[in-house]
Amino acid sequence: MYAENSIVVNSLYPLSIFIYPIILIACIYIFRKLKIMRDFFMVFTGFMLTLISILFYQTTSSNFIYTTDLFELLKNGRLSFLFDASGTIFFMIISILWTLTSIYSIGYMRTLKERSQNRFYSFFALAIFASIGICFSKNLLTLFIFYEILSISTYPLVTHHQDKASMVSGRKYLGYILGGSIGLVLPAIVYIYLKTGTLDFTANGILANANFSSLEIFVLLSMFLFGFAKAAVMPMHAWLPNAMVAPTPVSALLHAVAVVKSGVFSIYRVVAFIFGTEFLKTQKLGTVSISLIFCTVVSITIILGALMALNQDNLKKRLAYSTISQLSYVLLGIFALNPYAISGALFYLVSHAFAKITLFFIVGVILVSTGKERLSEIGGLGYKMPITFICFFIASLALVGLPPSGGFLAKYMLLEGMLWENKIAFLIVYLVSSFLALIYLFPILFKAFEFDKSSDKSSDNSSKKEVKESPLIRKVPMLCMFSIVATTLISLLLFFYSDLVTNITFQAVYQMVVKHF
Amino acid sequence: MISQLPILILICPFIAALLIGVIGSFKKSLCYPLAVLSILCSIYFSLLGVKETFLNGSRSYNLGGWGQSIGIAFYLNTYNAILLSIISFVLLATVLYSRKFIYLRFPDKFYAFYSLLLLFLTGILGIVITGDAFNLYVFLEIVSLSSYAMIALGRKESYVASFRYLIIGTIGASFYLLGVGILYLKTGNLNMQELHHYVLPLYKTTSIKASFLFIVIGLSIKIAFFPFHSWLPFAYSKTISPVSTLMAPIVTKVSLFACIKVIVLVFGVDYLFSLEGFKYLMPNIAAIGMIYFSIKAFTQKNIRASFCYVLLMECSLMFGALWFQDVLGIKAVLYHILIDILMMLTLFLSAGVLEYYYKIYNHSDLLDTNILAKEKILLFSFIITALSVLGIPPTGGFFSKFYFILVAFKANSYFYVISLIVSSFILLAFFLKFFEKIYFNYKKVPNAKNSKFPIITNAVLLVSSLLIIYFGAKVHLFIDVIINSFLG
Repeated sequence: MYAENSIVVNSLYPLSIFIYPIILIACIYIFRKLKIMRDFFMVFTGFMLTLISILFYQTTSSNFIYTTDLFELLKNGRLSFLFDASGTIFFMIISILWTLTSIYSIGYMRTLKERSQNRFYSFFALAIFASIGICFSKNLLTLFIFYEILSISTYPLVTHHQDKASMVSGRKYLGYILGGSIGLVLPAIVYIYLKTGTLDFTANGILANANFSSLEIFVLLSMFLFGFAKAAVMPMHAWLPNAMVAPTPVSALLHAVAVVKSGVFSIYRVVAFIFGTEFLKTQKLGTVSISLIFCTVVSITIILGALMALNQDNLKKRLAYSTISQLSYVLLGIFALNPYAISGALFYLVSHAFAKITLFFIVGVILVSTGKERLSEIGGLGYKMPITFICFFIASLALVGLPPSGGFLAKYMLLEGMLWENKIAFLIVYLVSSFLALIYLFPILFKAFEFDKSSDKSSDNSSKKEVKESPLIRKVPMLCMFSIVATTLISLLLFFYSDLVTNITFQAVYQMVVKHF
Repeated sequence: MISQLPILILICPFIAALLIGVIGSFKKSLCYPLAVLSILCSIYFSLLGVKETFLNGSRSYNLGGWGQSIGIAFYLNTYNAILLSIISFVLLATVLYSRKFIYLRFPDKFYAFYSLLLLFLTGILGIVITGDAFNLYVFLEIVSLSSYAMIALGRKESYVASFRYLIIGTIGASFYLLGVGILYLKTGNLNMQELHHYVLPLYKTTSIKASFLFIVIGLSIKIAFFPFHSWLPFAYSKTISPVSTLMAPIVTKVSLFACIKVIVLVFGVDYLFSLEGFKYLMPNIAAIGMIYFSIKAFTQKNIRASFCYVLLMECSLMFGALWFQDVLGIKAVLYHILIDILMMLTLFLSAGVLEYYYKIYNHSDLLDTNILAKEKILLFSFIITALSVLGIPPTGGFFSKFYFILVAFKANSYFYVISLIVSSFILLAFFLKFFEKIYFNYKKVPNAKNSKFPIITNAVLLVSSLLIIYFGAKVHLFIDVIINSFLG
């Protein structure tokens, strides 16, 4: 299934991907008055990155790995990059979705006439730059540097509206994310550096030979798990629903894909390449295995997040809690420490990204075209926007994990991994949370397609008026619809061409356990 | 000329100070260009010194051709030279931005200010470069005297502040003098490198211990270490802003450097490592100080006063890390001195220009201004500085914090680590509070694009914030090469 003879090439060329977002920022500045050129360059850059990501896909899935070592920062700690399969998976998600989000946000921001669009797009590009750095970091130091650049560059995006609500959410955002990274991740990194003298991502980890006690392992791993607050494991999740005050493209790309997945991806890197899955499996705290403890912690977030999503009226918030739940889904797969489960988790990372961004896009389109953002307000909207809600249906299938969608196969792999590890309890967690996902997503569809004449006639005069006054004030922007349909199609294609994904996820897992760089 | 470099760095501002003092009263228009020129010369020679020492190694210079043990020796190495150039850069920045302010404030006596300022610069450069324990005291006094005079330039409260500074500062200096006196009594020598050979056999004696204590306590008053800090916020927040801009970044850091110099060169690192008690005492005092100062910074109403507490927090952080009995700790402190000078320069410079161009003195004045639209560069450098203070990459402050935590872990000083983190949290809240006022409450003014500040101020802010990032990227070079040139 995977190429076993790996070729490692030390080259500076792959670094060129970092130049694209930087050039884009320059372009945005140059064409700050000329909107068309600015938008063109945005889509063009995204398109170029997508092409490059396909190139990377081809090289890494045949086990051809690029590494780039730049200058030394610490002793044995260079600024260096590793272009391997796991990074490529994340990079593909980001680049494809960035292209589509750019197209979407052109329609969205123009229709809503949002302010300071140039600032918005510049920081967006900076955030993408940082995310790419997270994808391809070769050591924990580089990862941490880009992680923090991402934290800082997304603050102006979260608080884009510059009002009281966004001030509060910005405060929460920085508080949790910087607090986690300064307070927990940094000391953990320093401690590992002190004990091992290196921070490089190595297959099977670097801690196995370094004489750590189980308690230390437990504390360090929990520092990483909670410190990477972008992964929103409870109780570090509170920033995420609040961050939804941002414009929809931000919520869509950053808080469904780039930012939160950066957190998950960082944890994946740490678990797989710093701790090492084989090593973690042997660790026990007392009589309980560490894997079991972390699986339990993450499961609590899965279930609680899903339950909290149930009683959210605001659509964006509902999706936010769903994201919290689903992120821990991926983490549970990682903490199962089974190659199959991890491969499934990476697959789920992909399928969830496409499905969730579709849902966010749709919520944004509803907001743009009708000004409604609550579940209780969207009654009967499905008849007016049929394509939108069909897409919503398909994306929900992917999130719940039903065929025909990529989510189904990912979940299948996760479940199989759990079976291999004899973790039946967590298998049930997966099933229960899928059921909960069904309960919190489908009511939106039901509401949209309800046709309830009695309420229309009698009670809600005001709402009736509103519908009359604003029956689709603005047309749904075509660019937005294009992105929605595209992401939905990709969610479907992930089912039919799943081998394309599993190819590279297996490769990633293989590179995780076999040393070659 | 290269062989005369060490003295050339020092002599330019000194001659200019005297010249301005003499000719200033009748040829006022010459003062400002002369001051700028002399500081530029200083920068040029220091940078030349960086290049020279980096390529050809450290050099020593005997003043007046006298022998080492009789005369005064200057030591120039790469680290020294970088410190010298950064200090001169700070002075240049202050002189450039404060011209109008000084002319308006002291229409007929501004030449005296420039004279004092250059005298101050001479003293500071002297402290950095000298290799003579008593000569260091002389320069310390030159700095102190000019500082007392400059601090008293503010309004009425500044006289009190200056007097307080004078009393406490003199106590500090006399402690240092006592320490040096004991050393001289025991060894009959004052050159730092030669003193070291005489001190080595006397390691266990009480008199060496006493002189060590005198010197450390005396200098820790100058550093404004935790219990001895009371003079600093008062002095720096009550005086005029150019004075605080030039003194706040430099004085405490240079005193810290002097302290390290005396400890490393005279007593030797081994002596420092043999003091068991200090290892537990000092980091813990520093830890308490850090939390106290960051809370104080958060609660201040006046912008400059709160920056003073940020400065104090940094001083505690550095001085505490000195005692972990780890060479890496000393290296990290030396590295952080450079970063911190730049950070405090941007902080106090921004406070200064905000006071002058926008009449913003307190945090509450920040509301409803259009700084966000106009002063992009100020905001940029402010954010970079804040990140560096908080220890967030990609800034230099991150790496020094990394090393501080590393050595603290090595020494099992968890309290220090925890309070470092807690104070970072508090400072995060502080900077966020500051930033939010600008970002969320702004006046919409049409055509408010252009910066009110002179280009040169913006350039200085930009350069210093970019230097913070650059030093961060070059941390390995600093820690493993440049600082070794000083530690030997």
